[in-house]
Amino acid sequence: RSSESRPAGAAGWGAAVADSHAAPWHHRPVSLASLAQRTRFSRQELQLMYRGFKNDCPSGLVHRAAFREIFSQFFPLGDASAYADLVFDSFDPGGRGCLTFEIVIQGLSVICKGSSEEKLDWAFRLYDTDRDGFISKREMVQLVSAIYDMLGDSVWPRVHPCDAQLHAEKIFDAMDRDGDGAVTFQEFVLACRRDRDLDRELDCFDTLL
Amino acid sequence: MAAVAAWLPFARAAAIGWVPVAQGPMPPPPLRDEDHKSDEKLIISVSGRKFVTWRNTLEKFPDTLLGSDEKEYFYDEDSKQYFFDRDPDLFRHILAYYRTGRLHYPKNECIMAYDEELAFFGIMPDIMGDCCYEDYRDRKRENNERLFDDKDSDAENAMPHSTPREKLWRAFENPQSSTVALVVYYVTGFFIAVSVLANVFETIPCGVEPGTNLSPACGDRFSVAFFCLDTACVLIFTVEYLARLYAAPQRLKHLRAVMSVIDIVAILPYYIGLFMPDNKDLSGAFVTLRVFRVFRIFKFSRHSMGLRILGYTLKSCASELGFLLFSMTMAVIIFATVMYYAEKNQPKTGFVSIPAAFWYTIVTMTTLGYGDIVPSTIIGKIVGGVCSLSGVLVIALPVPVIVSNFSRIYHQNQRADKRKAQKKARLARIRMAKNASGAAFISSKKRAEERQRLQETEIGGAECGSIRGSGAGDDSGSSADRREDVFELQHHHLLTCLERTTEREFVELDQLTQLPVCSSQQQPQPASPAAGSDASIAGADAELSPGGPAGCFKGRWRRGSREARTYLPGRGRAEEGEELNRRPNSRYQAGPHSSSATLGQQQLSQSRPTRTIQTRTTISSCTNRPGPRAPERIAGCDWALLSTWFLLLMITSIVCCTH
Repeated sequence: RSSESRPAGAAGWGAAVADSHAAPWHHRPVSLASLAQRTRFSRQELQLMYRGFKNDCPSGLVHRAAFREIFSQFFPLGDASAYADLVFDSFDPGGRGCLTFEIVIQGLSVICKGSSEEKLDWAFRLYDTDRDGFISKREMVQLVSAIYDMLGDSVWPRVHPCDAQLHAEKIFDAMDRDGDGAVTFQEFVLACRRDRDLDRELDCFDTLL
Repeated sequence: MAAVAAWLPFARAAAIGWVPVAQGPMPPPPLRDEDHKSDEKLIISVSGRKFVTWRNTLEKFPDTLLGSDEKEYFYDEDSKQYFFDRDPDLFRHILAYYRTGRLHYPKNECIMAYDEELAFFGIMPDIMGDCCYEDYRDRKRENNERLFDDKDSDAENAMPHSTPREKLWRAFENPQSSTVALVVYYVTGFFIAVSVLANVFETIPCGVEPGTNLSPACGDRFSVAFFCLDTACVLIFTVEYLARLYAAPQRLKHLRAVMSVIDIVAILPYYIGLFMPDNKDLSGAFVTLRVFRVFRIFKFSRHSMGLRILGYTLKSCASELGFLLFSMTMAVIIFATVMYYAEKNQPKTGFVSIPAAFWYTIVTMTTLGYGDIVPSTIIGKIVGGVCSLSGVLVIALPVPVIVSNFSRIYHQNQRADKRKAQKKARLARIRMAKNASGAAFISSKKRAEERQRLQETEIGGAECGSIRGSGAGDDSGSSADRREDVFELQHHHLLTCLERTTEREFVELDQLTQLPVCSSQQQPQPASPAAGSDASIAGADAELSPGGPAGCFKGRWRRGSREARTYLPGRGRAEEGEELNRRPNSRYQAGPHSSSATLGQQQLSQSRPTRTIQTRTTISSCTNRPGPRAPERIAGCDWALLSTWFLLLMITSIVCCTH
């Protein structure tokens, strides 16, 4: 089990030196067989993903900063750190600040190989950062801004600062049927299913490993 | 970290969050390739050592050789692996870059070898990790400096066509380049020494003047002699200065150069004194001007490398020296002030003012302690003690920096000189080896041609022996060589085409010695067999070392046998002979050569008597000598010394005559 993080400015120079010699924050995942059993990934897929995971995070733990970096590599033109934070938080409800391989794989198992309901459930949790069961307008704006941040500058038509806000408000107003300023899960699902082929669209994010 | 395929599912899954807010439908996913293998291991064989890695690992960096399709060029179908004919030890580091994403520099590897590997595999050295980057940069810089040094000295030797002005400039800048330059070097050195010594000796009192009790200075007693000596020196210096000014490529810049300023300062006082009226009022000022004659000693810095290095060191340590000065000043002011106020009320004290206390402080801090000013109060003595202790510290601080800088630059220079000295020998040995291999190649080519001709004309073996006495040409070998591969044959054919094109012929040197010798040896081009023909057309061999005077360091060099005017076929330029390095063992010379002006003679490729080659627009004037060896002439070095002494003798006699 990973050790708890010590407060940063606790004891100064001596403690900092001692920390560097302290036991590394190491985490070894459960066996491959049990993980293959528990999740919907095959052994080969798990092997491939763990090799990449271990390569980038030798200690077996992904911290927020490392996760941001990894995520940003897929979006080189823009700034993906805000969206990465949202994703990180959606995987890490306990707020421990780091993810283990099991958490990642279990989360991915749901998202990649789950039903549309499960995927939407995850998406809802992604949007609902304060975990109160409702999506407020502020949360919607936050998410849409994070998405727009990933674009960067070299897009056309150019991104205006208020574009994200307008987009978010439009979506929010469309979702919020009863106009109470909060979107529940049912409203969310209804809005998503409305005039789009949700299942196909959700499936198109499957990755072939 | 690189975008590994392993994290892609995560990123794509996270994109599900965009679907609810998307304003349009998502595009369909890319086609699924049923044959897609998730990941496979690649075998890379580097000179036989096998490295195995995942394909994904290599594809992390798609703009390198291993990460792109370029590696398919090296795919060996038979063994199903990628084969690279490179150094396996260095490949380890390349592969580590793919595995960890960080490039490291192994400290025990040669920087050039490592750089070549990086260039081959398409990896930029700039992405090196911070742990190794500084070390890499340092060694790279050191290497570049060394190459630059060598190239610099080569470049100045490789100018075939120079105007007299350029020749003069080169003579001044590099005394080794010709005899005249060396003579000038020694003569000016001698006169600088004479001038400085005269300045010193004319102030010594020499002998008591009869009739009085005075012993005047030598300068007053033999004023005429000293004046003549001074005149001679100034004449030489003036001529030298004007010559340098004329020869300088950029006269204005040369005027501002330090050495030029020193030259002016050295000779101006004389002219000022010459043209000034013999006025008692001004003569005091004139005497002061004579002080500037001591600057002549700085002219020695052209003659001494160590002095130049010292100057360069001081310049490069300017900040440390500045710091030293600043801290000394601060300390001096502080201590002088305190001493003054401690001692000012003592009777008959030396501390009459703070500036007067400066002198005491400086003398104390540098631990000189003349004793002309001493403190008498207790406080003054305490402060004086502290002053001397701190003085030692303040001075000791920047000195090691300066010393280490000087040491580093001096050793660098020593190494550069040693390299230059060794380079000639090294190059000579390399050239001999290359000549041997080039000659062997040409003789094998000749043999092949013989065999072909034999086969064409069906002449018997007896005539074969009469045509040529080539190196190893005998018929018994021909059957064994019949299996010459196509490559060799085509190479020979290429050289033959070259011969036809230029109407020349490749010869071997042992043929050459039986022929009229028209010129003395010349340094051959770096002749690898393939390059042997190309080198003859290529440009000047920049590695050729200058002639005789440099040989002073190695003992006597033999001069070339002749100084005939020779024609450079194909280049059309005649060169005067000068002394050369002799190459007794060089065996192969291709036809035309180019050379630098100072080296002079070229070797001609002679036509062999039995094989008449078409046209030889060659030797314009060349005398037939019975044997290849010429009478030895006195080495260039001796010429320099001889002429120097002769000149000095002449000048001394002139001076004596005028007296």
